[in-house]
Amino acid sequence: MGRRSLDTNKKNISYLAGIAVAIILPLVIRLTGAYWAHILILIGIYAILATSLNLIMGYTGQADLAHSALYGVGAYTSGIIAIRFGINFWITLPIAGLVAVAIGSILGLITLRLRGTYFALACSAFLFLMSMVFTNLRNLTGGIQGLLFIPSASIGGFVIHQKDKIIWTYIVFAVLLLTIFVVDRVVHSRVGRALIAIREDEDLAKSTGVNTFWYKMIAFVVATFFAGVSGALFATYNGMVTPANFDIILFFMIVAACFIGGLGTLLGPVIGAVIVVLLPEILRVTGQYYFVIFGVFIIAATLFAPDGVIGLVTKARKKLARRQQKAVD
Amino acid sequence: MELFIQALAAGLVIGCVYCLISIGLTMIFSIMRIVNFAHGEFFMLGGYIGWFVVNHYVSNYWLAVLIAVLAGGILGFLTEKIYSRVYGKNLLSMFMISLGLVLILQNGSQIIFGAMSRSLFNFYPTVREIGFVRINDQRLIIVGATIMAIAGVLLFFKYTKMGKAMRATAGNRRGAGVVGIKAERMSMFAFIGGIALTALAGVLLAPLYSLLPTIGDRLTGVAFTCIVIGGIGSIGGAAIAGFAVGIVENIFGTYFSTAWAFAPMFVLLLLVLVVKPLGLFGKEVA
Repeated sequence: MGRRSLDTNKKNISYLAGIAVAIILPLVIRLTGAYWAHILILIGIYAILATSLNLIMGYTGQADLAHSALYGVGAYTSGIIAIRFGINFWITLPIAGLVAVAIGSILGLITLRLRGTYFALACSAFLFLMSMVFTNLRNLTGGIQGLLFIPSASIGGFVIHQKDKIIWTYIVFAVLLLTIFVVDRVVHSRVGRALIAIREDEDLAKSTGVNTFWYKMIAFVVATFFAGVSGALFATYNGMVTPANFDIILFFMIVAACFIGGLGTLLGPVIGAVIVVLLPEILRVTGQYYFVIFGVFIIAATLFAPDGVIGLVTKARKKLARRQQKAVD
Repeated sequence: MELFIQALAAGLVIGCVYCLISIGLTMIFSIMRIVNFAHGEFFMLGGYIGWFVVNHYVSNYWLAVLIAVLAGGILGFLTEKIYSRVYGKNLLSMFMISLGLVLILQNGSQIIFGAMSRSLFNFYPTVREIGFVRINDQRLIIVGATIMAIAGVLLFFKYTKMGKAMRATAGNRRGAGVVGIKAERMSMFAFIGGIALTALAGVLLAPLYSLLPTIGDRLTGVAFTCIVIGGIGSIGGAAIAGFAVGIVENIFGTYFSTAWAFAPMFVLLLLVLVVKPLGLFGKEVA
């Protein structure tokens, strides 16, 4: 009991620290200009996507390649209902999540019975299919030009424009903290233990009476909801969406964020999101080569740090502890 | 009727290309069990290398084809060196490698060959009329080369010692190791052959289509669809699925909408996965 309350205390302190960072960081970044504030918002959106994807990819071990397509579904949903019906952002935000869940559930019902590579391939078929829908369903999505003039968010009469970076950063960070909190709660529950059991050995989990399909479905639905919500955030903040916003590169970036940060860890995807957004920006000094260098970095990271940044930190810590132990001996 | 036959013929030609790419992918997959999302990039590179040879060195198509295929083999060799380091680890490590490769190859070729669309000079544009079908010589070359390549691959796997060793490795890696087959070497040859076939497809189609650094993405999707429909690891299955996808795409495009031409393919893929996940010709593999 004592141990448990200690852990809870530690966790509460981490959350408070996270909230403090979320409040202070935008204020500091704002001093450096609108550009870096924009980057910070992008990092936030990527972090939401990566954190939610991590629930199904990192904790449950399913190579879900449809995440960015469902992010696109959320973005288009919020854009379309905001333009056509003039619905307020605060209502389109959850609706985008729910529509993504609705479409994601259908996909999940079809594909979650499959395993490993087959599941990954079925998801990638959905990814290709959705990009075709975004480009070709012109009446609804505006085709290749996309949706333009998506109304800004507003509270009462106060309109939050795209240039109000600080407010946007706070909105995105609030959603990010909520995502982390929800994933944390799911993982440290009965459901989370079932998910990890599925990741470790699906057949064994099944044989001990875990309904693997429904547990995978829960993880999938939770992840999809936040993908849809972050889509709505992006669409409203950006003011426009085009099919190019949801191309295969974006999807690569989210997976890379999970992997580089550390799969199956709570903070890994956030760290990864910082790296995958920031690194290309820094590499821009190398001119046209920056994406090539980024590709080399990703391969190097996979080969030399297969457990991500979190894995490296844990390893370093263990090494340090061992050295201290030796010193004591 | 004439329109239908014309669409069928066009589908058959594009099906040949899909066929080569899918056979290349399934060769690699069956031995390495990797999801090589960079596969389409080698198709793109095959086309660009052919274009580069013709535009900068010699104006000879066949030499361009030869060099593109050789370059494909070398690229396959190098790619395998990277992939083999994560062999047997989880699916995602391999996926990350392919992601890195996509970034490097796509942006690299944009730097080397330029971002605007290029097209390889068509040396054989003469249009012939065969029965109802009007078809140019380049398309006939595609069909002929594909038939030869498929026959070659099938004979190789059926009759040569190395082909049999590769099949054994695909079927049971450990068992093959017990009887003295070096699995690492088999992976290497699978990669060299698979990527060379894909580069061949690229250089064959290049005179008819415009090249862009991003064309590989779509081809990767097509190749994965074909190997799943045909049954992962089955070369004949991949070939048949390649033709089927090409024909369905063209007929759908002719009669309904070219923009949605790929839609039936992905729907078919989802259907096959749900109803018969092992594919039409697949066998259970360990």
